[in-house]
Amino acid sequence: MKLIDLTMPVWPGAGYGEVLPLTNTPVQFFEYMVYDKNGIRMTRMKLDGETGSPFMVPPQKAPFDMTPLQPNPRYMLTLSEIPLDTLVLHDTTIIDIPMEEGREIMPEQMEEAVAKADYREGDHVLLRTGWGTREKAFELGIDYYKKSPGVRYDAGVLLAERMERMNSTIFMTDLGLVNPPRVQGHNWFRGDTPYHPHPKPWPSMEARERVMDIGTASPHASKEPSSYGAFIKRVMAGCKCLVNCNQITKKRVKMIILPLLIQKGGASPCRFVAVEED
Amino acid sequence: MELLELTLPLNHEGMPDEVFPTATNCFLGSRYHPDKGIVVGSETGTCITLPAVFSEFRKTTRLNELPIEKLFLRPATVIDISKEGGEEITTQDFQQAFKVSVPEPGDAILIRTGWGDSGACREPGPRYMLESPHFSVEAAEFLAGMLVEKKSDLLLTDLAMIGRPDKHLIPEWCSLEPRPSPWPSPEARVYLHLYSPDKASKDFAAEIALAKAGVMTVKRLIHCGAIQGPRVRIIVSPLNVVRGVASTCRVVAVQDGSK
Repeated sequence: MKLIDLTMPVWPGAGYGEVLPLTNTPVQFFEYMVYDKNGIRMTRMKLDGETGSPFMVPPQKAPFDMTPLQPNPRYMLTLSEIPLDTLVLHDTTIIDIPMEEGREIMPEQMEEAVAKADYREGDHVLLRTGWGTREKAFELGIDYYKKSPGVRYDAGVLLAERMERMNSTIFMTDLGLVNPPRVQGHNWFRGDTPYHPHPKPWPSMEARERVMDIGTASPHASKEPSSYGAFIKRVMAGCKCLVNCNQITKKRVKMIILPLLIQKGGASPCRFVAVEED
Repeated sequence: MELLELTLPLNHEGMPDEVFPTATNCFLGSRYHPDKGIVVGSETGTCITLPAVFSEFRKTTRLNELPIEKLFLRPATVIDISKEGGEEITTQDFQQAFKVSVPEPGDAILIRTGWGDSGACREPGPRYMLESPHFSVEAAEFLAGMLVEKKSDLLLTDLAMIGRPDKHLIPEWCSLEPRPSPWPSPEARVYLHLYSPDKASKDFAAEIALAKAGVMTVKRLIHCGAIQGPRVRIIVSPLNVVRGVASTCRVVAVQDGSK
């Protein structure tokens, strides 16, 4: 048995907390007990539901707001309601679509990759592009997300519909962003009127003004629909920013997926470990 | 295979460990709150503490450097030492318990006292922390020796605290009425400003004895009573914090061969 850690680390100032206006706010640590003064280290950590490699359910704004990200989702469970047998040692198929920087997964690529995968009823799905590595995330900062490959909406719909037919409940990927950056970052760091220099996320004034401009219902400022939305409408949880998936050598693994056990929570940083059996 | 959740849920309306100034509040900020997101302390709820949390051992392994096999699907031996609130776990308790349950070399050790299943963690007020059973310093030193002998570096328990910080923290902090909030309350800031390494070494002597032996500790487990049999596989899943020394975590027991 071989264990492979697929988890994006958590550190203050990590790119995932700096790149978008609202969905993922900065990671900040406050060391309130320190070695030299107290002999002990204690840290207060300010995280976000999308910190690191996140695990996100359809009612992502829970426990405060149970409105799902997409109308009429197939599942409405919160973090503390997900059954353990969904999270621990669950069969998972790897769908391989190697992608270069900034490219978008097209429907025909998705169709071909799904056909090649060893995909069985009830499997979780790990969409592996090869983009996500720890070293790349450490080196590129917010560019790791700006330059991430993404999933075009129609390709996302194709896989999401297949997942529904196969009774798959968890979608995972090593992409930095599921939506293409031009969609997710439209008129923030891409599009007709991007900000220069790159603004801080919520609660910056730029982020507040953006909410005033596009409203609270829109997932992003682009007119294109959300490919992440296509998935989250049909699964129990969506997970992104996994790393080092290329260390998986088999077409199928068992996954250990453990978000924080937040009472009725909607999203959380999560550990992802692949188990390859001998 | 049966899966058992051993984790104290993170509840933004209050956690039972928010008693001492060394703790910090667990807080969730809603979508348009200025503090949108999740605030936790490194020892909020069920948590893992590495030896590197103490100054003396700060050069040792950090969370992001731990081999994954140390924490995921690791065989663990369950050691039963039933205790009521406020009781101390002594060297004799360990000597007797280790005669009944003999750990395999390299196993993690799970000390089950029943405190995590007592219901105290769901009560309002500080009882869960202040009345937790705890190791005497001598017992912690004895256990550390046992763990070294068994080549084990992972200790799990359903205690709220490993030792009892009764040299400074309890008499000085708990004598304040009304009891102030944990850090970052003004009272906690002032208290920690004067909380020296010498005071910490006395309050956390039991924890330091285990850290000195290179032992990682996981505390505040619940539902351990559901574990059947003397051995399980254990999953300890902390945040993957770069250079972190402690983290709130999720703990699951995998019970093989059962229904």
